Amino acid sequence: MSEKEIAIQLKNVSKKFALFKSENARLKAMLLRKKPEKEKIALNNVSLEIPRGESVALFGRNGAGKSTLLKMITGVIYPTVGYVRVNGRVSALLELSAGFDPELTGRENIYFRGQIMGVSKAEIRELEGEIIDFAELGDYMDQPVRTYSSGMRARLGFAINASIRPDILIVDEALSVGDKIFRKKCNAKVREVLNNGTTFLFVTHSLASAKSFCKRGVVMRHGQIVYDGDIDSAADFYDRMRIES
Amino acid sequence: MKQKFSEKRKIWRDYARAIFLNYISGHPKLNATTYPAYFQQELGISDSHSYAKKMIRQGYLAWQEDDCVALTERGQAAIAEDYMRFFDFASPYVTIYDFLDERERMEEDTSFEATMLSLLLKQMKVRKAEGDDQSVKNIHFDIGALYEGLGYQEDALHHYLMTLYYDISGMEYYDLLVAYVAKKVSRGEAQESFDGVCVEPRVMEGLLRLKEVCTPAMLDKAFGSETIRVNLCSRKDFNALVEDIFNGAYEYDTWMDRFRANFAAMLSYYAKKKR
Amino acid sequence: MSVLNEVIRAHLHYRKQLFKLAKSDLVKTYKGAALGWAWAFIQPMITIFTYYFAIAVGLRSGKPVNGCPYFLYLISGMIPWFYMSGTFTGGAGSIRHYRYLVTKIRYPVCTIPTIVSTSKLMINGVLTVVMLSIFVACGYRPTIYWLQIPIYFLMMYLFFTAWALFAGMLSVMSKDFLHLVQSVKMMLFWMSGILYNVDKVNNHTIRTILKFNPITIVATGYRHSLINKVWIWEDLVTLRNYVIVYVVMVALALWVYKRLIKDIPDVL
Repeated sequence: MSEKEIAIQLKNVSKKFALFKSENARLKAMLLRKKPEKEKIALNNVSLEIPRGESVALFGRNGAGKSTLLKMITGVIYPTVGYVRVNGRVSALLELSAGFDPELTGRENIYFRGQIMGVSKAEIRELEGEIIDFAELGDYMDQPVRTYSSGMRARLGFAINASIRPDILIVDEALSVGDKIFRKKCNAKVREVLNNGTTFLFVTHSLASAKSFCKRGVVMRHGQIVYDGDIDSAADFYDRMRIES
Repeated sequence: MKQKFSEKRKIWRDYARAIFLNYISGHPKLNATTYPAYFQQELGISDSHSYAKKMIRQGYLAWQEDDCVALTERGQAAIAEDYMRFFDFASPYVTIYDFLDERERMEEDTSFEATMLSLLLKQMKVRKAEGDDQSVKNIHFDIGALYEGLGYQEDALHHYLMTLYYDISGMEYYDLLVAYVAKKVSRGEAQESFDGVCVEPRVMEGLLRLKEVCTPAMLDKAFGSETIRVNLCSRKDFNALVEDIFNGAYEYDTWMDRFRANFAAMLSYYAKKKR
Repeated sequence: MSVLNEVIRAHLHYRKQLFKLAKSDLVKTYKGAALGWAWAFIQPMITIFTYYFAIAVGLRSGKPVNGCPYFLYLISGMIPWFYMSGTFTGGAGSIRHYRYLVTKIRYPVCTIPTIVSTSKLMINGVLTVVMLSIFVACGYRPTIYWLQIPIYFLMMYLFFTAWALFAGMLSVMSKDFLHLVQSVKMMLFWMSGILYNVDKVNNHTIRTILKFNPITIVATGYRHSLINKVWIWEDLVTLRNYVIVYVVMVALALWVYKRLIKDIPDVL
């Protein structure tokens, strides 16, 4: 893009989920391009620009639209209105155990997931050792993933996603990956990735965590961005935002 | 649309190619590049690798050492600046065809900004006639940004004020009010459904940048210059809000309470009217 | 059509992953059971035996066709049926089944039904070889007409992959549709030329309609190659019907894909 390298850009993005009385009513409306009667608005006219290398914390209560926003950035869902533009390789530490084929071994899944994320085979080969070391799965590396516990899957998922040299890293702090020692390792890994100039989007309820990793904070409420500024002000704003019943 | 179908195809091809080539010039290592999803979603380039190879074949790109490509002269020429600016501007309300169409109609100033301004003003009228207040609001903001870029601060501020005016109008509650008047929802339900109004941060930032040029006359001009179906904000409130924003004294919760009270007053007003 | 372009490019670009997933789909189907892979053969054999018993022994209708014993006539239609049947319902459920590829990561949805149809094809390839061996064992040496079998095999694959895309997308939106597919399957089987010769049906209209059934088309093709010794271009009616039915199927699949693709991740 132009001189200001923008990593993530959302312009006038709205996401409306159509609500129908039945599945078949929805199918009919979608095939015939009819407007739905009722809509649930998950994102309402969101505009956001995140330049390359910036670290941004995303605050908001559950239902504020954070996960919809993230899914849009990772490309899993499409906006109803507006543009979502993402420049660079996105790695999301959200659903760590997703995207594994249970029949493939851990090692094979590294390649599988890497390829899906658009990483060339050669590059994965270079990173394979690093990923395996980080995941600490030992002999299980060559066993099918369906034999793994959920913790092991999460560790492998984290190892892959954090190691593939992403341009944009998205982390949901709500994920718990392994024991305390491993979590410390994960934090260190995230810092390492950030030091390489990776753009960072951090979803968290912990103001302290946010302040330690991020420079900018965005607060969402009811599908809209209500605050966007430096991390301290944003954290204050989120803290003070009265919770309405 | 003025252009014929075949003309449109050519425009689209040129447009997509310009954006693609511009991207490649910043990411010369073909094999190591993750192509953005918007190539497919917005430009219709479903396989970027093959497209890049096609660009090489057609002479827009040329191989260099270590797997990098560089733009050829032809490639450079293909990156029309206006296409890039249009793409970066990213307005959901106008297409590239509209833009080129408008530029042909412009008599004196055919610069990007002048064309976009003319086009957006026309679109605003169309959307206004359709009752699409949210689009009107967004277009006001985009126009404001254009003026600000050109250095016309008063015009920019006016449009940012208009955007604010729309933001706090409560236009999103129009359907709810209609339902209330038609007795489809009770007073309690209507009040419960009120979620506050949102002043977009980018609007506040715009206002703050231009606060020096603001005058009371401008506030007067902005308020009430366009009719919106719903208006939660009185003139006094509007002026107070702008003042708070300029002074950095904007408190989200205080203002939400105020808007909530205004909304309740509006419900009372309609309740009386019904009788 | 740009949608067609998009679908083809997605298949080309992701062909390696596709193949891996198809293989893994295969493995998943049979793993876990004690007999494992053997079921890939035991199931079809039992089915064939059941029909043979009912028709030839029970109903005593199993007359030789064109000089060929009814048993061989039967399996030449049943073997491709196993693929068609599996893909008919499996394809419809494919996108629901692989929901993680849709909702959790960015993966081209249009290639998901192909995963299932390819996995079923691979098994059927082996079954086809077994079938041919049975023919040889019964004294039917390979003839030059056997060269057509890969062609009909491919035609079958192409049609049912398009079907899988069509049905897969619709089934995500409507469980009713998925159930409908499951119910209609056996009807299509009985109204095809697998168990009996469609050409012998008396009513002209009914005969014409039955000959448009893609299952009939494929079964007829197999029999032309193995028993009747007819070249593909010698039966223009069947060939014409295939082309029509295939083009319509592809058009429908692409139309449904285009309409529903943006909404699929929201619904799953």
